[in-house]
Amino acid sequence: MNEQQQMASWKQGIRDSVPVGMSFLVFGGIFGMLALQTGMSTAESVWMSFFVHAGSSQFAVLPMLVEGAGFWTMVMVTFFMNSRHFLMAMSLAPYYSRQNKRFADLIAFFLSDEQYAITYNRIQQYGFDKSYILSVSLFLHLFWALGTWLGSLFGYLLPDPQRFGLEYSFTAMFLALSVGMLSSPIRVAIFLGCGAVACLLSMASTSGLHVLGAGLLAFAVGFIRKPADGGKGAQGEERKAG
Amino acid sequence: MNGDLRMFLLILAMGIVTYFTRRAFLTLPESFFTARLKNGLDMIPLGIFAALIFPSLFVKGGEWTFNPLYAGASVICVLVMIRWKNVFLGFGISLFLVLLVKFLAPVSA
Repeated sequence: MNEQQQMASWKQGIRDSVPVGMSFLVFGGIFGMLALQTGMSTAESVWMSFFVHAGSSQFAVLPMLVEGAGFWTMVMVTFFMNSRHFLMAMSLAPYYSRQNKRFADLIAFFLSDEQYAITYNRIQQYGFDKSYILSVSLFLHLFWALGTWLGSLFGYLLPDPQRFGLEYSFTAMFLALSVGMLSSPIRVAIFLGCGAVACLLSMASTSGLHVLGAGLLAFAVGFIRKPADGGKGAQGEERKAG
Repeated sequence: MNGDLRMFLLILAMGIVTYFTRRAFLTLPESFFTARLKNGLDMIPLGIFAALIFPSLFVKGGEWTFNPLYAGASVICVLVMIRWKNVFLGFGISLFLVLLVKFLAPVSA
């Protein structure tokens, strides 16, 4: 890939990240504001957003800090809430395993739900593009940390996301990105079935394990079933690479 | 342990376990990927995406819920995606619809 193509990929990555980046600014801001209320300093909340970069577990830890929860309890909650990333990473492994390990070491730091959604969709459509992946990763990361910083300084100016329905932005993005994957009846069935199971699991537990459960179910169905739908995805990438 | 150091170590530990969940399986030996395993891995995003979408539409506070606005916007998002296959359009139109209705009728919507 020449320099011009790399630049085009960078720009495309930024363009594709803008809608989610805007939401990150708002939700990062809310995190910064709430963190301040729990007694965290601006530096600590920004450090957390920069170094952990995992919204759901960051939000989950805040009330635990107020309640005086144990150190390892909070670390374990973070681990279990983020355990869904084991599966996300595994679904990307056929692509990243062919890359330089250092690139995988770097990108793993940025592998949030949203980064996963955007970059997986891109890989499926256009193949593996390091510049694009790096662009999306850095941009989203920056906006989450920036939002946290702004929220801890000017959080009182932020709109209530529930009042204006801003929390729907993530659902809309995930939905728009997933439609392209529903290329056969079996895929639609797995998608709907996993959605139903995720709802049931989500009602039973608020720890985020429903994502892991639904991912495992989808994996099991795909694994048990004979490869028959053309292997769009991991195998499709092989065709592109070949 | 003083409070500042405890917080620093807590964030460090949270970051390390999070990184571990993301890095552990991101690269695997090529021989690991049998056709059957690839087929299973290929389906994982469907489950992950479904779990990120459906509970946000139908579960609130551990109970079933139905928000006609979000459901309607989601149907429009799917229809736009089927017709134009444009993520920006699907995302933008459905979110704009939600923001517009909420802005015009913030209490009832």
